[in-house]
Amino acid sequence: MTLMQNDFYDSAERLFGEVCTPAVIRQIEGGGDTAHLWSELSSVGFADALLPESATGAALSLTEVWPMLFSMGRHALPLPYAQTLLGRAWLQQANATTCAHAKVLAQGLPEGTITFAPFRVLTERAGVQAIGVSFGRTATWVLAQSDTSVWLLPTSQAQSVASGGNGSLDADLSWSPEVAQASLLGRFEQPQFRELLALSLAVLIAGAADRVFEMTLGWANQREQFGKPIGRFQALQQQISEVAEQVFGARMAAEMACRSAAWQPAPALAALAKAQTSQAVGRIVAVAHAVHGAIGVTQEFDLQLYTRRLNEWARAGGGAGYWSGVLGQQVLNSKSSALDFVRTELFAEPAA
Amino acid sequence: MLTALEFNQVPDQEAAFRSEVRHFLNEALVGVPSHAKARSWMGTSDDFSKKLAKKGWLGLTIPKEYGGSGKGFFSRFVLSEELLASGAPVASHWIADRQSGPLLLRYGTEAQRQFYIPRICRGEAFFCIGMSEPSSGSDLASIRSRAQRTEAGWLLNGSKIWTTNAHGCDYMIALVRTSGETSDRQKGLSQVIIDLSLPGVIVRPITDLAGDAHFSEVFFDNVKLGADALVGTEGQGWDQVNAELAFERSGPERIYSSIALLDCWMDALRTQPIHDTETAALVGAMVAEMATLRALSLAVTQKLVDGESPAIDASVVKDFGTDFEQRLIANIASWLGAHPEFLASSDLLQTLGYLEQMGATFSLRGGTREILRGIIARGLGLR
Repeated sequence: MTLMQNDFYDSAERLFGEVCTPAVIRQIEGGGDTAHLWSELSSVGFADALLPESATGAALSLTEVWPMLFSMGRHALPLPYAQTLLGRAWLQQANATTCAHAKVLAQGLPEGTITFAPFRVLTERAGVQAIGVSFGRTATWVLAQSDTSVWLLPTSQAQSVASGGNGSLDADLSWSPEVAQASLLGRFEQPQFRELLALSLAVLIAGAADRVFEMTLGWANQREQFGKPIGRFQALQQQISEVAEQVFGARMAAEMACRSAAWQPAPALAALAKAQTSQAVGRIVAVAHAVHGAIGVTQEFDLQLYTRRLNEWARAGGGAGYWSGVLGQQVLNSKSSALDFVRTELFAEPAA
Repeated sequence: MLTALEFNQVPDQEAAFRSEVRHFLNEALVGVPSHAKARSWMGTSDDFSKKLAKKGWLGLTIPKEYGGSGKGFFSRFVLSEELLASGAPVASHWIADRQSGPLLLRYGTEAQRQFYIPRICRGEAFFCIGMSEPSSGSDLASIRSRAQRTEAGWLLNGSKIWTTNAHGCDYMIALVRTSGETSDRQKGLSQVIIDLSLPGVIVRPITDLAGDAHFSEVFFDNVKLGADALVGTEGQGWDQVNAELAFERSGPERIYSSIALLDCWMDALRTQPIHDTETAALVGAMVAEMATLRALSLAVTQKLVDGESPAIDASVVKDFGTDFEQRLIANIASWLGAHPEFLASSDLLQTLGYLEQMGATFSLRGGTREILRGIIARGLGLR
């Protein structure tokens, strides 16, 4: 729907359009192999886009990769590619700054995709259990944190139980004490992955919302009832226009959160983006399905590939309520007016 | 078709200007209560407007040769944002500065520009916009007021209603019929400039539910206008008005109408022991949405800088913004209801009371929500 002038965006749209078709999404959701898709995605070397040149990365900033992350959402990639970019950048930085991790990452950064488990990670009887891990069924690795412990856990050695509805990629994962012990990266005083997951999902939501809106517009113009396209009826026009505003807002919030000259987002912006995109999902999905009618809820029609994911992403890693609360507490802790908080903390403008 | 609205910052060089404006406002508005600030661009003070004019802040984007400051759209964004967020009483000059000046600069004759624009910039000519009529609200093309050509110029008959601050203004730029019949719709409409002190003009303020008289009805009984009353091209009034509305709809006034309430409530929260997560979440949600809207508004400003006429984008931002302004009022009202032990000051409750009453107008003025969504739908290719 939104026309973006950007070479990175065009290349990403082309690549994902070719290798991540709806048929591929369906096959992976059905439990099919992920290795082929990952080898095609990783063949372009984009996974190290955020790594410094000293680590043979492309040393791009988050701002620069934003169009590609957005495109990942538009194509509902069934692998945690955005998270992998951020996860690799985090691992590289942790590796470079703390020698204690050398043992775990002696062979370099891990092969395959990475997702984050920053919440509801349990440590019972020395094993590790991560509940409702986003992309838990398709990720190769999970960067998990509980209290101060951080692990890089292989899903190939996990017990996995699907934790979502039909076609969901989420899973409850548990690891034995032996695997957990071998996968411990170290101790970190602060939560490491909350904002990284929030930002990843916010950008994916913005992209998928854009795709869903594009499909909704297309259908409203194509489908005829009472002798004319249903998009000519004011009742639908009013709803679609309202959703257009939410789609624009979600995209802007995600783009703002990617404003960073480094690889990681500003924490307050990650909170803003996850809050703003997540709250928009309900209305966007509801109107998309209302416009599509019965065809939209069939397995065969592609709309559900994106709307199911939007619903999951909206609540994963903390939904609108959680991240609004994080942001709101910062606002209340400051003594700033609403405008000055927005200007200085979210737009990086100088104090007036 | 709508294109992406890309993020952009307020240029760094505007920071000094913002500080200057902020310093001025901190002094000028000391001691003004929140419920007065909530009136913002519905609040009038000729003195305040003249003070701004002395600073060179009226006609900020108008070229210096016409008495303006020759600054860019981002300077204007900063000034508007500071005035609105601080609740300055800007209604006296707001329309002249935002719409009439730029309109005359674009469509006026050289004589009209020389006569009116320097007066606007000095705060000596306040303008209102004559659009709605008793039987023409959203259906603007159905207007009946008529200006007939005479040997000396034009003879004007008819009336306008809901005209913001007409009773405080010197001039009106009105959309009137100059040829054809009501059934000709957009054809035959023109814009004329009316000196409101002329014989035959009667202005009657209308008291609103908040006890203010922020708008008026205006009657024209055989008002004799000169030949130079026509603005732009005869019969092109409809297109001119639509170009003008892009200016009206793109500014930050569609974000900050309820901000006096948000700031007043947040200050109160900081002084009382409210630590539940729902309250913080409500604050955060409002601030996140405000920041998003600000970014969208800046993106539209960038399009203006680039010489585009982002009429549809502006409608997106305006409709989204008015929805936010209204929801903010409803949310804080609902929050107060859920916290009956909270000690709300009389100022907070008066601010809420005012906005609760006038909030209904936010999605009416400058094009109703339903009309704007129709414009957006057309932009999306649905009509």
